Amino acid sequence: MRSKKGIVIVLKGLIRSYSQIFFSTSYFFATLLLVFTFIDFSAGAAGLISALVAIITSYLIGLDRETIAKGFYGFNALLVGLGLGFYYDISITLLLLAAIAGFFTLLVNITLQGVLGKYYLPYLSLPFVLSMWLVLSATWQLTSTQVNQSSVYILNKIFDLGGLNFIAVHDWWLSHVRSNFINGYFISLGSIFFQFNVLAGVLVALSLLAYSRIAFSLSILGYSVAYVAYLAFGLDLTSLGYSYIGFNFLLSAIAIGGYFYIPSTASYWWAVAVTPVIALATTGLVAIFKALGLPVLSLPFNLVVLMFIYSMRFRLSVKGLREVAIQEGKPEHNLYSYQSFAKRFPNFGWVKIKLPFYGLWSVNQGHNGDYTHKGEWAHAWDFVVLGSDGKQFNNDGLVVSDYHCFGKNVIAPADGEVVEVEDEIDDNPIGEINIHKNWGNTVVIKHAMGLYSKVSHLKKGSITVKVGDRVRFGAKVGEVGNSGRSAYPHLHFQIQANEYIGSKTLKYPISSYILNRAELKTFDYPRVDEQVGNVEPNMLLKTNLNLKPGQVINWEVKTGSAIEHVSWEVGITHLNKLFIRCSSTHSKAYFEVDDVYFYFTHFEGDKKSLLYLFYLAAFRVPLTYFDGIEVADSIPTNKSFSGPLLYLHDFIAPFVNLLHTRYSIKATRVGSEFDTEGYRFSTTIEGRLANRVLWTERFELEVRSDGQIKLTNEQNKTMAICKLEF
Amino acid sequence: MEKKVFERPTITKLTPGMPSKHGSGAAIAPIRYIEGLKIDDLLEKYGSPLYIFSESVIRKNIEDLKRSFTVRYPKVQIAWSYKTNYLDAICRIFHQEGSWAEVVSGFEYDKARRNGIPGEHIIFNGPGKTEAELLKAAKEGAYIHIDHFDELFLLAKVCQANNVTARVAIRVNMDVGIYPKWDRFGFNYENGEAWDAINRIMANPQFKFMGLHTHIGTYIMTAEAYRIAASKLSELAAAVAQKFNHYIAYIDMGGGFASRNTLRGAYLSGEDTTPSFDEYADAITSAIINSQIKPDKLPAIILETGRALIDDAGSIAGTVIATKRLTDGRRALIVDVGVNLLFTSFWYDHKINPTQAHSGLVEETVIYGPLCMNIDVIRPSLMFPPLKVGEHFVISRTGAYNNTQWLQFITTRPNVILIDTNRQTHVIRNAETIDSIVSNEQIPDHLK
Repeated sequence: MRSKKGIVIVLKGLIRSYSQIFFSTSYFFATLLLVFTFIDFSAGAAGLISALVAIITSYLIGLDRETIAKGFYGFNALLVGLGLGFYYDISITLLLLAAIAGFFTLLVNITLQGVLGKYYLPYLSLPFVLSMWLVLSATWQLTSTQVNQSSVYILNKIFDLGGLNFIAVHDWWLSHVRSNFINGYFISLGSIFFQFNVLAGVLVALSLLAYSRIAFSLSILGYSVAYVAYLAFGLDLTSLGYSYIGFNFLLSAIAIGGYFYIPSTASYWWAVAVTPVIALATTGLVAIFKALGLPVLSLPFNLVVLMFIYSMRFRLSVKGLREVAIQEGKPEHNLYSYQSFAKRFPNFGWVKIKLPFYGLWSVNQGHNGDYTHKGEWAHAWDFVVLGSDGKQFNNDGLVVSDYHCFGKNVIAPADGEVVEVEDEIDDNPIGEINIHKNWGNTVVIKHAMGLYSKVSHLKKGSITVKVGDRVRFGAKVGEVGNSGRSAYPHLHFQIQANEYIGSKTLKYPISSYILNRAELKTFDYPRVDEQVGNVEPNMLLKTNLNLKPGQVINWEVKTGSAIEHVSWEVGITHLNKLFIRCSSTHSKAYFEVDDVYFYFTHFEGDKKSLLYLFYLAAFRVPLTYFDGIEVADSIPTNKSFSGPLLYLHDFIAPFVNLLHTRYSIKATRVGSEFDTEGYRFSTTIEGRLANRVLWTERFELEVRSDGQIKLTNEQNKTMAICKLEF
Repeated sequence: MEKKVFERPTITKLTPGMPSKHGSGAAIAPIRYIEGLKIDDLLEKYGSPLYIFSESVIRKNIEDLKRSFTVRYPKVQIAWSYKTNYLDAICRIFHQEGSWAEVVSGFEYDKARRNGIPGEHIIFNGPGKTEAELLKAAKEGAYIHIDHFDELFLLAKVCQANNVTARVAIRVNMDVGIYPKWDRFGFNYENGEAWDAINRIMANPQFKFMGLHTHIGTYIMTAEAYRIAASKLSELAAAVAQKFNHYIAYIDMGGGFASRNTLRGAYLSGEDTTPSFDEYADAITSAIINSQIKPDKLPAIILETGRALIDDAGSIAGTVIATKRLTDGRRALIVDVGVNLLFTSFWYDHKINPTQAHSGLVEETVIYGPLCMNIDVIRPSLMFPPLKVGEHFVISRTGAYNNTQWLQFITTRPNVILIDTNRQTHVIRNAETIDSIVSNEQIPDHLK
């Protein structure tokens, strides 16, 4: 069993070593590339052996399985092997050499991974460059290797591959495509695999296009800019000698424009800007290494891209060009995920600070208010309680106790530690203010390093905490009063970066609240005259949807008259990311559960699976309930669209996103308020091109108090039922 | 300049030296208007006597009560106590403000249903539910608050015979340190009766055990009593959770919040001694929050507050019929409002004000109703200005119980009007006629 698993990992790693050259983990792309390397059999065989040795060795050493399976330990060795096979004709010696070189490359690989990893830098194909030099220099001493001449006799090879038909195609190409520019591009592309011919280039280009539109367009961009740059230097890129290293520009453009950075207008511009630098580096390095008799290989690409990434890390603020945080291995994936993530979770991971009271209060003064929230203290709120007549008080409002908010509890807005308390200041009569102790009775709570909250103007003697107390969200800290610069009772609330009473305010949003009894808000700023209250979690929903690692969910799925059983298991990654895994399709849907929502962050796998339907239907489920609750979100473009439209859209996606998927969910209660049987959610998903709705998908999701979940999709006539076990 | 009103001469005792603790006699200010409408005009239009209700005061009271609780506790539900005032128009104001119905008889239950309240928003209290009423309530999903074991057995029988499930709660009585101790309703806490009832309910699959109810008394002048009651119910709730892993949906604190009327015989005025909603709310919510109940399983609080929500929204205006000098020298006024209309005058020293200005001199006066019955005394003794025959007065804070406990005794009952939030008046109950009284009567043939 264990060895079977090992074989799978090795095979995965071996195959994906091929696509990894283009920073890809696609099996489809990898398989095509693997086949193409055998256009030159000698190169193909040597490459395969070399990569295989590296992968097996890395497995035997016991390196990280996941990294091995992605091909990270194989692609450098593969390149070395391809190089060897290109220079020397196939023989036992060559294959032996390739195997040894594979092992050696792996050692260089791991070493560089360690060294560069300290700087959080990738090792790219630097191991290949170093190993290749060594191996080439070594083989010149060997007498048992024979120079591979197949690349000289291109027609022979084409005949070997495809007979007369291929020759005809080749002739047609030669007679019709005469542009050096175009042929140069293909040769550059082929030369990545040491296949210095147009045929290999065309095949690689087609697979690259099939794999990723963004990578493909970037490769053309890089090549074109380099071509122009060389013309400016007075050189011709397409001339022999340079076209062998043309791939440097292609790879750099893909790396900077779409792999290490989120594809965007900015990343494309940087890809353009870096290309002439690589041209300069290439020209210079070629001259230097000529003296040593060594080819520069991909050295220019490696050097410049590494230095570029390293330099960009020194930016003080990240604008325009954004590094990919979670590498999904394909520019399109990175782009759509980022677009979705930036839109959905601009405050991901922020400390959650809620409102410092229970019930419904009104904002009397918001940020940059009319009265006192100005200058360094602009980002504060004043809260009062209003009656339905719009007044803050009963009777005439001439004594503090007439005010609705006076004496009401003030609570800790988040977990933290009390760091400052002032409780000795008299409450003012209505209309008078105390400008000497202007903050009045105050509590400051530390929630995180550099994140404090302060509640002020509390009632004298009402404060129930002392410095050093640990408080949880919701714990009473005092009561609303009228102390300090407060002409009538109100609650002043601000977030600040320091622990002192009087520190300037910090613009920081309230993590969740309900606005005007009707709208659920997250990470937003209550504005003046708005009525706001904290979100009350719904225990039924929270208990049922708070899925725990190890939990198994068994579904009974009815499609038409057919009944099928599907089983899921909840898992967790080493980065604490929760996911649901479908046992039959191995699809994975990553989710999070917080105070307010159950929501999905990512999906990978089969879009025909039940898990995918669930991912769509429960993309964002509120864990609170009030009548008329409705929540909207947007599903990542590549998770909801597919086919030719998405393919075409990929070309323009870095610059403008025209395909949107709007998600909205409404909840209704089943049963009565005190005897709730469950909640029914109606989900509507609309795929839109610009503003035109292209398709609509509807789901019904029912979460019941006995742990039953029911998912219905009318279009697919699917109905699935599961019973959660706790 | 307004012409000065003639007042008959008054004899006032001269008290030399320092005024007593009651001060130097109180002039009684006139109340001319209710919600900006002149009372004299209303009497002219709708006749005397007249019940007057203010919609805006009702709505404000509900809002004040709700606010006091919701700023302290996440889930609060008010259920309007029908017996306090079940005029449909009044009930509907409460229902518009989100109140459920709290009923204590089949009649009140049907009234609530007629007012558009679904069964699942009705709390069915009381010791005298019939088999048919129980069945109907169970079928309609009302919350049946069981009062005694015989009702528990009856309901179990009804559910079994008809194959229905019932949402039930029990009423619990307990010692909360006040007198009188009400133990005639519900199951006792201290002697374990309540726990016994709970065990029987949990054992019956046709019962859904929804909550715990108590009603510690009426006109409770101390919020502390509610703190004790709430913490005792919370202990029961925690015990249920521990034993049965069952979390009740609500704790019903009943009613009993005092209004600002002064109880007969009370030393201080009700306006000074009545706890505020905030004080009651603080006692109840902190007792539940500080109890053994898990914070994420806190039950909702149900309030059946009646009196404190409606009392000061209602007034009765009337007219002086005659004046008299009694043999002991006291003044007496005979007015057209009697105990048939003002049942609460048995409990309260009602606040009575003239609707027109007087010189400020007051003398000790007895106010009698118009009934030919010795008990018809509205105020046995108060310092009152010398009103003339035909002058009007208004009795405040009469909204609670007077329209449900009123007596059709000796005479018919007058109009009841509502002043809405736009100061428009509406008759919400027409004055009775002889027909409305005799329509249910039947005369045997031999007497025809």
